Amino acid sequence: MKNMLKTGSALATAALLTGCISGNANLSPPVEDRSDGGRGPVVIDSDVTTGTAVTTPIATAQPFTVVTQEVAAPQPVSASNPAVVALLDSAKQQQQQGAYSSAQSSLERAQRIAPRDPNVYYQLADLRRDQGQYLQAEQLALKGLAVAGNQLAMKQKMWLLIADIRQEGGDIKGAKDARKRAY
Amino acid sequence: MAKKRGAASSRAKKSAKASKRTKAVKPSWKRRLIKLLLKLSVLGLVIGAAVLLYLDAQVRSKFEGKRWALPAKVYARPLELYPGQPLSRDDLKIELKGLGYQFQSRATQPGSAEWASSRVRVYTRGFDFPDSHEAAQRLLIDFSGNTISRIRDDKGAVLPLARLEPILIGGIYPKDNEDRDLIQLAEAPPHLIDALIAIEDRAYYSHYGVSPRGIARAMVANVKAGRFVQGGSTLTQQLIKNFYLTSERSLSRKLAEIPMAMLLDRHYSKDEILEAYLNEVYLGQEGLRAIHGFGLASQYFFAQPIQELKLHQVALLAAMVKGPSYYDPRRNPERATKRRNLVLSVLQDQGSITLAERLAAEKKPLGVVQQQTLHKGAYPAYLDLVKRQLREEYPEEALNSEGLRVFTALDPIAQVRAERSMVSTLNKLQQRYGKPVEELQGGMVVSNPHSGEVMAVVGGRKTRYQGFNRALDAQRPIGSLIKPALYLAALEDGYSLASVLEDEPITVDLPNGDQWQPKNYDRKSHGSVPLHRALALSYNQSAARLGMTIGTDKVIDMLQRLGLEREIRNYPSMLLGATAMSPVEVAQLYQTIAGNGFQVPMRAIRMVTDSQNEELSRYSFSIQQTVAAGPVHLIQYAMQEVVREGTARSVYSALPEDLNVAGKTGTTNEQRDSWFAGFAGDRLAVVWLGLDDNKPLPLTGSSGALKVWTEFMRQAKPQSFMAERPSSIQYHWVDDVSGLLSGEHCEGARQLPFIEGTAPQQSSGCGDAVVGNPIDWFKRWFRTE
Repeated sequence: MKNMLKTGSALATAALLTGCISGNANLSPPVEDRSDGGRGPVVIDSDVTTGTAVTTPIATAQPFTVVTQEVAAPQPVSASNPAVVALLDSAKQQQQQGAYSSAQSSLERAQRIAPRDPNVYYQLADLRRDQGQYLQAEQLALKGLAVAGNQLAMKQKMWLLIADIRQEGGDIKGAKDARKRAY
Repeated sequence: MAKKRGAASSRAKKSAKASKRTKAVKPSWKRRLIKLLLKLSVLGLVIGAAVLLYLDAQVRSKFEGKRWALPAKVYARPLELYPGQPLSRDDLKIELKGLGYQFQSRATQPGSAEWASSRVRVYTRGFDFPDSHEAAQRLLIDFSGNTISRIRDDKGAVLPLARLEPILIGGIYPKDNEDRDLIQLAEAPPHLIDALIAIEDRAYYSHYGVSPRGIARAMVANVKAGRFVQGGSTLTQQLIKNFYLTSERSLSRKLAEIPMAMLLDRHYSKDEILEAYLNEVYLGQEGLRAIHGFGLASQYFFAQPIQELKLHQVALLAAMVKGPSYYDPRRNPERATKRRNLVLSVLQDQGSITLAERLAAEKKPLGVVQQQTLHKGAYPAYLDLVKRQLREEYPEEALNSEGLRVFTALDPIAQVRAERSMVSTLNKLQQRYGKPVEELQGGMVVSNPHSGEVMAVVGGRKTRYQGFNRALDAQRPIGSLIKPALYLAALEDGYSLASVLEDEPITVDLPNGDQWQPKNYDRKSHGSVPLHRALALSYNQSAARLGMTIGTDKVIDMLQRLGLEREIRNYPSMLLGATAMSPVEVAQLYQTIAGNGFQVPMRAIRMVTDSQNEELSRYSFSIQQTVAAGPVHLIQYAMQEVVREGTARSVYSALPEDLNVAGKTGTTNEQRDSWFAGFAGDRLAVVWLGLDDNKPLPLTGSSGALKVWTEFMRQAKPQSFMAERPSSIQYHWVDDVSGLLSGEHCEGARQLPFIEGTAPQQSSGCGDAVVGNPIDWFKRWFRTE
């Protein structure tokens, strides 16, 4: 699953890029965009360069080195952390039972543990949607999109959620636009 | 209402005194006197009845009122435990000590913990959170280095997560500063009631509120001793006395005590009165805060809930009733020990405990915790922030009497580190710079950049002193801390990190005829500099020129979009931070930068519930994107350059190389203020140092505030900051001097992020990049040139 995501990610981001620029989401780019290979800007570069920062003849110490290190820096809590999974599960149940306040509490606990996990923002957005708070729902989904990085499936899921949110909020054109970006 | 009653009672007293004086008149006109006496006695009867009625009403209202008046309880965030959590065993110990856990060889009861080299067993107390009940349970926590690796329950089942109960950090008290922590009679530990009755009022269950025999016995004892040793007051009388403890203790009040005690005894059962007594009796004083009741006293002296107290502790509390100050175990441990042992022997005399129990308890030390380790009242600056927010929404009466529960985001571990960093750095600076910094003060705010929650607040050098809260109230010019906002406005306006700026003298004519001529810190001009370097090295002239070109309006607009809630004056020198802000306001601005352009309101309170755990208000996580992710990504890059190569590069003398942080230094005119604001992955901190009288300092942002910030981050071991690359961003190699495209292997080349369409088009002539780098080729393929 992870591998699939990875191989798909370059294509996906490229597709997104072309989507943004040309307005034609169906145009698949002829070249892979390696700059989208990792999480941070750094990642890309370390993939491309063989020698990393050491080989670069820069006079001063570089922020670039920062970048390469970003790759190495471990994220202490991964998205698949059982605590986060458990909290997201109970939030889902609480939401289904209409216990919105408890669901919100569970999601905020999850967010404090894994603030870069797009699933957390997906559910936060979905909860707000359920409560009819469409503006906040969309903002949360946009944040989720920002932390989704290059996870294609997640981005698609997020755009579809945004489409639903806009639709329910009465923004038909915006919903259409979001749906387009999802595919 | 209460005042009116008071006035009425003093009137009643006066007339009572008056009648006594009349009795003393010489018996010359006998008949008249008898008549008068008759009239007077009728009058006296009427007055007496009125007084009784009045006392009756008062005693009942006091009794009922006191049963319900409960200060709001303010809690820190509960510590979450889960596998993968970065938490050292020492951090866990800090938390458990704050909760008053007993460290034992076997954790056999709630509130105890067992320590081993790589694992810890914690028997939690459980807690009723508004969202769910966390049961008391025994947790076996395995550590791998400074990370929790596994949590199991008593049956060996692996748990995904568990929550400790939250530390109680304070209360919101009524004007008389009475604090209490209500307990029910059934919650009183065994022997507490026995001990109280044995030592204070043996006839409690048989008398009518007062005990003539008790008084007689006390008088005999007093005469024997030749001084006042016993009061002879019943528990009921003591309760009455405690109701009025804070007001004057006049003779009339003393006289009123007896009928009031009898009335109380008539209206309420012995157990009801006893329960009120347990919660009302005065047992100590901490500054302005009066410690009332055994529930609170248990926390105040032992940092433990009363249910967990052992015999020797219970005996000590009962011993203190007679004279909380005279027998204060912290100040007068010998006296307290002596009286505690007296209580123990009385308990044994009447068969409540065995001789063995008594001897074992007598051998125990007093076991009182140090006042400094108490968490309640330890965070005045943070509580100040919480109270301000609460008072906007709740009437004072609701806060100090309805037993509200306030759940905050305070992280006691982060708070301890912030305080230590502030205090130790200020002490070091004082050693180094001497007299000019003797009065140096500081303010600090620590927050979670993802959630906007305020984790810690330091209001000054004396962290337990409830005084001027510099983190919230010190409004000082922010100097170069404004530059990220200025450059962000420029980047939004089409500038790139590689844009070449002119760092040359500039003169701006002001409307009042003055001229503004900003200088650089080193008093030099640096000619052409790329934008990113101008920020990293904090050049003023290039910044002022850039600001004048794009216009102050855009910078003000940016400040407001970053989260500044006030209107600020529009004048040129604001471009270099002449605008005054408090540390907490600065934190809000940097929060939005750390959050990739999503503004998250800063919050100290998570939720307020009533005493039954029903939610009254909550402050949810909410966000709004106010600045596009692209420009924010660029400014994050430049702010990393500040710490890697710029004015704040000293951070890496203390922080590990692989920890990415970003920030900005700030120094104001004549060095009156020393600022640093910056963030790592999961911590944002803003530090201000300066003198309250605004005198100049021998410190810059980097030699002052940055030192506090660095020390905090060194201790906190935060996660590394990882930039999220928005899709609109591309990285290019550019020549650092000319700002033109270059190649990876070219001299003076550095890789910079660009918003699509803003990258330089021309090459510097070092052809490597253009030919050999497919990324650039690919990107230019997109561009319509």
